[in-house]
Amino acid sequence: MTSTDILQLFESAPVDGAGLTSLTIEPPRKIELRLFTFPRFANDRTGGKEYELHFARVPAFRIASFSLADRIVSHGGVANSVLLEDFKRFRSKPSARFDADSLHHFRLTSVHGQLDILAESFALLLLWDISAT
Amino acid sequence: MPTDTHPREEVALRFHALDLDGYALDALSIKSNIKATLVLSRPRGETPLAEIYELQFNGLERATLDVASGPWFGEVLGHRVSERPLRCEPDGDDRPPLPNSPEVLLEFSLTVTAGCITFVARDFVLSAVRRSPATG
Repeated sequence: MTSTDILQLFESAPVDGAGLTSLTIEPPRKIELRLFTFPRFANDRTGGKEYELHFARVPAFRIASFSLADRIVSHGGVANSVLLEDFKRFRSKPSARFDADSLHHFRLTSVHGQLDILAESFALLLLWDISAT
Repeated sequence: MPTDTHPREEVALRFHALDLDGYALDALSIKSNIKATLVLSRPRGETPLAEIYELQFNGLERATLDVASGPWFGEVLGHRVSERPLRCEPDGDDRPPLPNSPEVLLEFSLTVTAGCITFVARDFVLSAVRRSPATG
């Protein structure tokens, strides 16, 4: 799978409009987000779906004003990544095992903030589909 | 844990008295509107064994992360606690603002090498987890 394939797969993930319910950051191993889609209103979970967005092998990230319960408004891959260039420039000993060519810059923009993740891969898991029960 | 057994002033004093500065923030987990857990350890390489602690915030109302400058959270450079009204801004267009409430919560802030992490919560617990070989 090429870098373009991975970023296109990420861009097709159905997370826009979802609210952040949980966040786990264990650098450089992983970053995990749980996101709940609200098809109607924030206080009505009928028909909602909960996803886990898992990023593996994360040598760098940046979080700006990212809040619990904040909603994702857009997401996608970032070309010509400043985060990647910073990583190459400043990578420290614990990150040396990461191959810069295999890293991708993933970006999630929320109502109030932004989460940038430099990672080797990502996975999207559907945890709960309330509309299906 | 009932919150009324922990007056705000007592919780604030306990947090203020913590000796967190210089500890490394290794990991962070925020679970729904329930709790946030931070994994803290002594700076690597200082001792043959790493002392690892969990700092848990309970009755979590809000968490805001501003960690914008590096790949790691880094070391804790400072921590403070202040009072904050429960009323918070709405998160989305279709979410009504929380009703005005006289309740006041505590805002716990940690400044780390890479930025600032803030939790609005009712209480916190600091506990030792284990001692393990230091890495790096």
